[in-house]
Amino acid sequence: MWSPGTFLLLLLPTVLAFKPSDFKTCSQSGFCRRGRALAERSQELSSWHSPYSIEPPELSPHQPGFTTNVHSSVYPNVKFVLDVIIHEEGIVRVRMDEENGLRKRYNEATQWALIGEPLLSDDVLWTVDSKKAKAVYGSKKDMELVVDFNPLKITLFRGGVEQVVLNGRGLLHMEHFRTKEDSKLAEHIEGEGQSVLQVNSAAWFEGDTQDAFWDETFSTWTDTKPKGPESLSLDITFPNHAHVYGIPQHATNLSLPSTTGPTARYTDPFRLYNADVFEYLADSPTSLYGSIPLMHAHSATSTVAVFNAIASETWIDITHVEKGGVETHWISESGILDVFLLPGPTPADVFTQYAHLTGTAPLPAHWSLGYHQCRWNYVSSDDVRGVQDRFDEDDFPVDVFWLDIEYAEDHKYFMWNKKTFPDPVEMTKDVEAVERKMVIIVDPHLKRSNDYPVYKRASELEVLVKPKSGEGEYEGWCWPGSSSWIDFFHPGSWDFWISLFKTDTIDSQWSWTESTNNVGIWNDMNEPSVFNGPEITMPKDNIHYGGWEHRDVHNINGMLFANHTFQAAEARTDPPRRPFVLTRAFYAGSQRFGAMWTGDNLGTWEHMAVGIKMVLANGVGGMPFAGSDVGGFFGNPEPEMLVRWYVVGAFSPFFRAHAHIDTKRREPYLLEEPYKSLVRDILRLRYSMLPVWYTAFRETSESGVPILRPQYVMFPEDDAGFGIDDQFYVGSSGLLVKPVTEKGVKEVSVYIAEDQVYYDYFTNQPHRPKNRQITLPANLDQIPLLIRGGSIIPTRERPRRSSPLMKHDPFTLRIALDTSGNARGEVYLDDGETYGYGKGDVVWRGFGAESTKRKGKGIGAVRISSVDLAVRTQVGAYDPKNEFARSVGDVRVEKLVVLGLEKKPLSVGLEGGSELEWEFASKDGAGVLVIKDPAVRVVDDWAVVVKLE
Amino acid sequence: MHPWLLLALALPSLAALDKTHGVPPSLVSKYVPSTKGSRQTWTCLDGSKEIAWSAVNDDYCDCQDGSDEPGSSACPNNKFYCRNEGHIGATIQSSHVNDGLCEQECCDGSDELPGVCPNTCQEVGAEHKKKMEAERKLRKTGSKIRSSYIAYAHKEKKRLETLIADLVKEIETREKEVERLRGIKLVQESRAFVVTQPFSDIAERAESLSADELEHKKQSPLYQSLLVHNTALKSLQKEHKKHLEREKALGDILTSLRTGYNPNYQDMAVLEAVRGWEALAGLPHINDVRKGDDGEADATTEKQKTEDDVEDEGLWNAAKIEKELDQLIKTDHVTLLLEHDQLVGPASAQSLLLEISAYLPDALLPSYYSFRDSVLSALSVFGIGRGGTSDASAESNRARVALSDAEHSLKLTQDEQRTANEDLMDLFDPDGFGPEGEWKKLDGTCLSKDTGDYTYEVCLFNEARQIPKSGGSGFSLGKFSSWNKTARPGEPEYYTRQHYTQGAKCWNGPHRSVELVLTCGTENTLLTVAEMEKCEYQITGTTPALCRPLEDEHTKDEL
Repeated sequence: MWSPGTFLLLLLPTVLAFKPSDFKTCSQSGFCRRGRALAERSQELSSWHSPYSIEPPELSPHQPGFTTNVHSSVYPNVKFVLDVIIHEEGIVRVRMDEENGLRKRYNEATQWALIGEPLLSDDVLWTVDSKKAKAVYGSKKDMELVVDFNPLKITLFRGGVEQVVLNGRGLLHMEHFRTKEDSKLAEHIEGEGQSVLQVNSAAWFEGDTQDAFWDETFSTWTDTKPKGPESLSLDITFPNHAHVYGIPQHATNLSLPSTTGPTARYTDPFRLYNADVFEYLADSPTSLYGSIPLMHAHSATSTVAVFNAIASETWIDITHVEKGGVETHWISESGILDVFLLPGPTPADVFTQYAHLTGTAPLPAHWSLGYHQCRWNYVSSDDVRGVQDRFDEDDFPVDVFWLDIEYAEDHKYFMWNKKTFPDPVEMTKDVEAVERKMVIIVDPHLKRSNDYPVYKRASELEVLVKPKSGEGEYEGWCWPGSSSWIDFFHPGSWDFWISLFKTDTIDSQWSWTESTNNVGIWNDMNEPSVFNGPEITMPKDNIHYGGWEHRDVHNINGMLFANHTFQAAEARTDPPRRPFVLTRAFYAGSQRFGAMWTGDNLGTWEHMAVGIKMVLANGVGGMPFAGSDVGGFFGNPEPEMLVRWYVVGAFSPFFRAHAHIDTKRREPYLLEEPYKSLVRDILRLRYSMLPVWYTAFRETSESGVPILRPQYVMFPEDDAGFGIDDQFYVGSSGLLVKPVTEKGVKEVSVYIAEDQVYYDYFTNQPHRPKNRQITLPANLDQIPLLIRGGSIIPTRERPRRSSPLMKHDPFTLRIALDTSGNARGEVYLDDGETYGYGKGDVVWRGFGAESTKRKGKGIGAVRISSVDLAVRTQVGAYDPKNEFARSVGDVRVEKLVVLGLEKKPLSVGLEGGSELEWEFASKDGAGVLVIKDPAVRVVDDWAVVVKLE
Repeated sequence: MHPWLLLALALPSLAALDKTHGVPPSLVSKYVPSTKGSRQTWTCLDGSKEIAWSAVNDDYCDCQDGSDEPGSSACPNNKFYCRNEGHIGATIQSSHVNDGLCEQECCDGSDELPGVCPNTCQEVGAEHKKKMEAERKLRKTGSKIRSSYIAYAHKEKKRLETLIADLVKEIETREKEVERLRGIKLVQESRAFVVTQPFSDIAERAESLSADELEHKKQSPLYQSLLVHNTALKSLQKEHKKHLEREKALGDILTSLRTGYNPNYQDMAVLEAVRGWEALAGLPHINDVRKGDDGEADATTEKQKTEDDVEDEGLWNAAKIEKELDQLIKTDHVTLLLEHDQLVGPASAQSLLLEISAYLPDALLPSYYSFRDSVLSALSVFGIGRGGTSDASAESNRARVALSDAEHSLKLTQDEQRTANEDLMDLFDPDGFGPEGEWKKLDGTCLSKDTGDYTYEVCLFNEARQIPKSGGSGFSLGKFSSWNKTARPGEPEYYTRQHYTQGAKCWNGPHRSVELVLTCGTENTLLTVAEMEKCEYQITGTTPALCRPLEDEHTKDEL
């Protein structure tokens, strides 16, 4: 018998610096061991059944749900209570808690994750018989929720087909609170020999050893577990879905592989426990910086999802079973059972259902979609100015310069090191003079030093995390040395945090007067990272506000930090402006507070490739504003790798280059030719496409559908695409990209799920898929980027130094006709920095191309038009002549490029106007019509007619 | 007239732009239309396309080369020329045109639509003049100092030339002396070979040894063993030196690990290595030093050292090895052999005396030795024994020594001449002290900059160092290795950067290195120090050596 741990060790290449010994495997985690042992026993025992049953609920047919008592046959004296509710959109919420237990299970996760109490459904019909309660609901009355009483089992059906089953495998187990004495007694009896074994009537279910109930030692750390065992095990099965996605953050495939069973790719379960993993592996189920316990299950006919709102360490075993479904087993350390079943039936529905629970990513500040230049560290104000100068000399667009921890004297965040940054405000203003911004890091650990006003005040307010004694301040080691952590669960910390970011002094309290209202904030190390803590994080028995242990709230902790930073940055001005906050740790709901990145990746091809999958997975997890560090944080990427990585970055929602302090400088201007010009072109491509990105952000801010869309989201019925995670579409734009993530590639095959024409973005060459593939050349100077036939892509093609300087630049429209000669697209614009869009200060245009066909002939004419989309929505008091629209009244559409015309037009003109200048070029039957400067305004309705007959 | 033009007029159209807007003076003549019938046309500057004259500067990019849009931002990678009347014309990137920002370079405001940017050329021009004046002044003062450096170099040249001339003479003299001494030695040796008559005294015997006989004596096991010992000693010394160097190198690595590691990472392996090295080298623990209470630790170090010394008693200590081993190895074994021969010569009266000790009980040895010594000295006084010095052998030795001394002196003088020649060559070498020798004066000049935690010191053309304020010798940041590699020797740019490389190796990083960026200034001084990358420092400073006289510029401009 070999332990999974050793197996994992054997798999690790020794060159990597990831230290498996720093982080627990399941076998080193008491409750995970217990959970997996439970699952093993269930397999071994043919008569296995769940010991949990419920009392038949009393309910009237139209109430949204019920509450009832739960019994466990192994602990008949312990009381549990179950709560089943059907919410709007058919979302089912299942909650279970121990009633009148010795202690209280953590039940506040949803308080932080949800945007509010979900609305109850008023469209349910319950029927109850002796064995089960059944609810029928949904607009088509095709949804059914069946709750079996004994054993307890909850099944969601759609159209009579099982979608999700809870406790179908009988692995539900809520360890009740007990005293150490009871526990000892049980152990003692066990030791007495066989004759008394039957006394431990729970052994068949719970096992006959009390494994790590009362304390647990890992390496040199002992977790005292004062509350004893309280873990939660739950099996969730998707009997008819072959693919599961989500539960970020893991460096793995988008379609999650098995962790148990014959097809297992990994030996350990996927783990959710926010952790600062040094040089993480590019293919592993280990936990990383963030955790979103949301899983999609998908088949060609259905998508459903579960959101398991738990904040403690959680392990998830996944088994793809032979008959086609997926079994999952969720093992959590503490907290109540609080699971949401999202009924779908399409991926888009699931995204929206989840968004209605946890919110969407708000429209970000427009500049934050530009290019971000970061490094640990730009060492002085002059260094920052010098870097900016070099960008301008070489005419590379860039919007943001970042400062990592070394700006801060002794790593006391907010406090400038005046030796190297003598003039921080002047420096920031020099950057802002070109409409650029600075983002500055503020970490959650505070140097324990009384000459540090932030620590001093936090200490006075007693809003710091407490050690296990519950008294005083927890002290750990981080960048500044001895540090303490603000407890953002403590309401007393909130106003204090807001006051710190004020750029003018209020009430003589210390505030960050040496910054500007435009400064963005980078929240790093918020897992939290504690250098001398167990698994480089906080001891689980630390105490937060309300007496909760750190173990109860660990995965939420980082989100609260970003949440309050977001609020603080927003509160700097009145009226507020959209702040930019980047976070490393995240949880369900973090999308509301800014962007995330995939942490400290390595400068390797493998990390570049997995970065795309991770960003896609984050999108599935509802957090679309994501990216990975271009170039890799560690290491010195060769120029070829760097160029390819810039493409990956240019097609990520969040586009930042970053580098470790030990690396060589690698700002793009330092590259040799041809690499330097290649990167310049890539940066300019990103900037030209900002209208596409911003429009996509608008859509996701409403619908929750991610910005980067993998195949299964775009083509939910196309089985062959469900496993594809190395290409994606950008929003609804119709752009399809497959970044190259391998060395020496000369061409790539792009998977196409439909029989449609796709155009090469750069050459305008039309392609029709052969065997569902389009092969494209992909030398280093080529990007496999296609426009899906039927799309209109709005771009701004003029190179500028920063994105705000593009405000008055004209648009180019690429009109890519589909096989029937039609296309549509849209562009959304607003001031990019205020919340004026809420009151209708927007320009939102829909573009269309419609062809008129004559029988037996080709296209007779194409009418290209622009219509107002905002006027159709009821958002705000929209007025086409709103303040923002007036401010961009001078913005033209300067060029129309029509792709897919088979022959030269006879005439091109404005509808009701006169002929326009145009050029038509045709090669191999692929015609490109370029219409020069129709002199129309982007804010106006207009139409251009291309006559071919 | 197109009806939609009305709509276009609603836009702040750029069509009204002058066709030569943004065109540099050298190209203005190319912006004229051709007339083809009623149509006015224009050809892109690269000849690729003919377009309507109205399409020039109409804010739409028609030409591949961008030449139709000199005054707008419509074509990427273009250049825009602003005339800046009242000041100096400037060229900016087309990406800066019509972006809503008033470019500093274009004080006439022509980079934006009319009315956006004010014309500030008068103020800017005045400011510029003032700045130029200040710079001129600086250059003037600086170049004065610089000419004193050049004068120094010329003086140095003269000194070296005189020195070389003297050395040439001296070498001549020394060569003659060597020749003379060689002659004497030759005579003595040939005489020793020719003379066969019986020796008049014992002393002469040694000198009269034939080469064969000397060869024979050299076969003596004692002599042979001595040679082997000597070889062994030489080898040991060589090995010893190698080990010392290795130890020093290892020590340097560990010392930089000790002061450079990040305790935040909590890496136990690193901590163990640091503590191990501290114990071995008798250093206080770095964390204590950082806390500032290293006094006690130093005392322990001191104690340890004395203990080590006590142990070494009776054996040569390091200092003695350093001082005397070389001499021991250089012992003239032939002389020793001859002296030995005289002392223990074959079949002599003393043989018994000399060997009797072998038969004596150990207890009597000391008194025997003192007795033997007095007998021997008595014998020697009477010319019987071979104790003391032999005049003839001394004569021969003296000749040998004199020759070797003379040869040595000659070599030294020759070396000195070579060095002087090299120095002279370097003096005006564009790759060395500059074409005018302006840098010679600064050779070895040490500049330093206090940055708080460290003092940075650059000894020009020698070494750069980082010296911690907390004490200790610090690290070498590298030795001078080259001027600016991106420029050619002789170009002014070439002397604006110095590279110091191969400094102490960083833990987990490269060898430390410095790029010293210099500009003209009236003082030799360091301004800023920045660690741009791990262990790669950029130091800026000023020096009068870079203040080329203003006339230089003028000549250059005229060219």
